[in-house]
Amino acid sequence: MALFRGAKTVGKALTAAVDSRIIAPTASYHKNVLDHYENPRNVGSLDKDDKKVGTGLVGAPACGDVMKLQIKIDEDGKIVDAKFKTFGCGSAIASSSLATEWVKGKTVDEALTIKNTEIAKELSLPPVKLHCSMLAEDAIKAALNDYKIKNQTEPPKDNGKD
Amino acid sequence: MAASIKVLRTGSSKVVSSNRITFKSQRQTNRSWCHISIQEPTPSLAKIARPHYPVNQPTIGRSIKLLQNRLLSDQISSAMNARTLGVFRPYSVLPERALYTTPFWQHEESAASTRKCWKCGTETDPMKELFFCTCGIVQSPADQLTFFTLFNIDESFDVDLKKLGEMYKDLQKKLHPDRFSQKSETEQSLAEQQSSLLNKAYFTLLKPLTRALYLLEIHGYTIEEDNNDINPEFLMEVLELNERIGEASSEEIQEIESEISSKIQENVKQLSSAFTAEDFKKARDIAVKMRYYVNVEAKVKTFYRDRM
Repeated sequence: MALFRGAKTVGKALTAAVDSRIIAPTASYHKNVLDHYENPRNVGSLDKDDKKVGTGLVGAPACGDVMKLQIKIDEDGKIVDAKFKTFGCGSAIASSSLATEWVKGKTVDEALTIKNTEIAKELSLPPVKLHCSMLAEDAIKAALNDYKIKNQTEPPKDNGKD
Repeated sequence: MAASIKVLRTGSSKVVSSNRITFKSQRQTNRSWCHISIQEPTPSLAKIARPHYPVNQPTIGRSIKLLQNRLLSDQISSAMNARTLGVFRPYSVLPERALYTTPFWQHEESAASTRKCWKCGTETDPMKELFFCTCGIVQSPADQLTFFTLFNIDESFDVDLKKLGEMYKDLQKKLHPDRFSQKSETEQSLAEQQSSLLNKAYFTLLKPLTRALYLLEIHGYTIEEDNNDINPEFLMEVLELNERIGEASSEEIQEIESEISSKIQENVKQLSSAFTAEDFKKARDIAVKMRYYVNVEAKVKTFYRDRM
């Protein structure tokens, strides 16, 4: 017990040292990242076999993060729903959460204009975390591409309409 | 002197000549490679600095400027006569020193490559007196050596872990900063640097993944952030593994754990044969996959910790 108490005091002393020396210069997560990390929007999955759903699955080879982003598009070409699942760091989760928020309500063409730099700016990502926002941009593109492919091959001889 | 400098970086490369050096990077990563070669007017003397350690971009810019100034002012000619600029590693070595230091395995009759004891001034044998001069004084860390050379083991993926561990413990015994508490401040700080370099080297070589990544770095193969050629089925597999962990019971987690550890073991075997065959591209592909599995393995460990 005494030993334990001793250890505790040492722990406290260490914390104090750490507080003064290290915490100050360390870049902590921006509040927008924390917000998305703690309350991620649109987590989940859509039916990937649904023709109206496009799925983008991307990975970051250097850090081993995986990101799945899905979008649901209605007849008018509008994105009505978006979901994501990301296994990775806080910045990757926040980037994909923000991406789903942004694509909702947009048309396919509008969604394609979302740039990683905008995501990075909104979340104030530091340079070393920029690749997380790139991953989110890639995921949006991959999802839109998947949707396009699905809907191109299926109704090519759609002569009835138009 | 009309020397030209060529700066190549994996991913995005930029070639520059004579007085102007621009360093262009496509996407910012926190670690990148700098390949530098210097071409002298006489082609016979054209030499190449070996691609080496990771450097970060701001330092590259700064060091290149320095390199350029030296070249133009002819100050570096002795180093150039050595036909190599040696290891370029602005991280821990002052740029000036990095530029003048030739790794010992490339020694030619260059005066720029000798290492002297800071205390007694005698030349030290780069291999035998890596850590201490014969006068008994601790030396500055030999950052320009690979971690393998530091521990005097073969540069290979199949490291003799027992030997590595023994070397590490033995060296740490001699270099641990605690042993220097009564010594001068210079010695204390040198011992600290030596000791922390040893830690870094040891832990890099200890784990198969970090060892593989380090070996790939040495050979100029880095894993780029913006490479998306991973096959989707593999990503799906990783995603599903992650999802399973999220919903797993204690029995299921054991199943997942053994599944992952057998995959990792398989990766280690594949890495070993790829490195033996010097197929670095293949080794890099395996290492990328292994990184994902190692991440998943870490999640399994977190799962256990949370249950405790």
